[in-house]
Amino acid sequence: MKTPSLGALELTVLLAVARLGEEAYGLAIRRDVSARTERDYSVGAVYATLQRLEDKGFLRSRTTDPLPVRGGRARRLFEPTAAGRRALREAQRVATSVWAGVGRPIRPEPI
Amino acid sequence: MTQPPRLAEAFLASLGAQPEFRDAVLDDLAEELALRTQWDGVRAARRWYYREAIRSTPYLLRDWVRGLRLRDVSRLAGVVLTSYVFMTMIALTVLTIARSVMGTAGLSTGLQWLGQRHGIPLALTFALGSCAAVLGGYIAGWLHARAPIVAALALGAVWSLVGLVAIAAVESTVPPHAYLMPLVVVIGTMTGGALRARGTAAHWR
Repeated sequence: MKTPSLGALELTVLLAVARLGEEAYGLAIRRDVSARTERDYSVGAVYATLQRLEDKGFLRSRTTDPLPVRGGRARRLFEPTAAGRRALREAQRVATSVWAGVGRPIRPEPI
Repeated sequence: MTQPPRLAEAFLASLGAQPEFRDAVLDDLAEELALRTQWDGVRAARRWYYREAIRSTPYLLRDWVRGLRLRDVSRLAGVVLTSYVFMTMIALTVLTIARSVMGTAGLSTGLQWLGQRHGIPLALTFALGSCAAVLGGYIAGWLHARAPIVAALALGAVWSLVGLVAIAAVESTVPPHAYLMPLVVVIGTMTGGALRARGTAAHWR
């Protein structure tokens, strides 16, 4: 069976989840993705991507107990599945292969 | 802890998204609102919340569409039809009562122009249309507790479409403002749905 492909944002979000480990919940993931891509993604956009990744079998989630503070809310934590980790390794392999041979940093086009 | 703006939160909760998706988005928005209130102050944090609510709306709507089943569509159609009939009955009843009251008072001629297609003052046309639309939207939202905004929007869309078809079929010369009525109807029904959603905001928590 063919492995589902990963879009650019999906790959970025999946990497953020892998990087954050036990702290991978919506808000932290959004911050990480926004900081690294220098783009302000909406909460809805990040959750829609997380849901797509879950549907593709690259992520699983669980809901924690409400936080022990006043008005504390439950958090939905995400973690990559085995398929998700494989997809990350494959994406890294393809990226390395595509970048191979590019010796110098790419300069912007002269205006 | 800072409470999210009630209307914005109720609006997002009323878009029919799956409970898990909806709660995750609303919880994160609330958590970041609390942080931003500490960093930037209440006003800036609330402005951020409204902006983020608008940006997240398409994703919540998409989640609603994604989870749609045939029975949800037929239920929504039923809600639209029922609220349309309900609202028409209320409007006719109010008009009948108004006519009889005015007739008793000897002012029946004053209402005759209400039955005419032309010559009705523009402001009155829009005022009556808006009131009816808000009422219709509220009824649709009341009948569809899980997604009142979506139900109100669906009613507005159907109502506008029926109105446009009726105008095209009946009128030979259409006053230009008639084409603005669909917009008034959609805004009115959405307002009615939002009012209903606001009233039930505490229920989803």
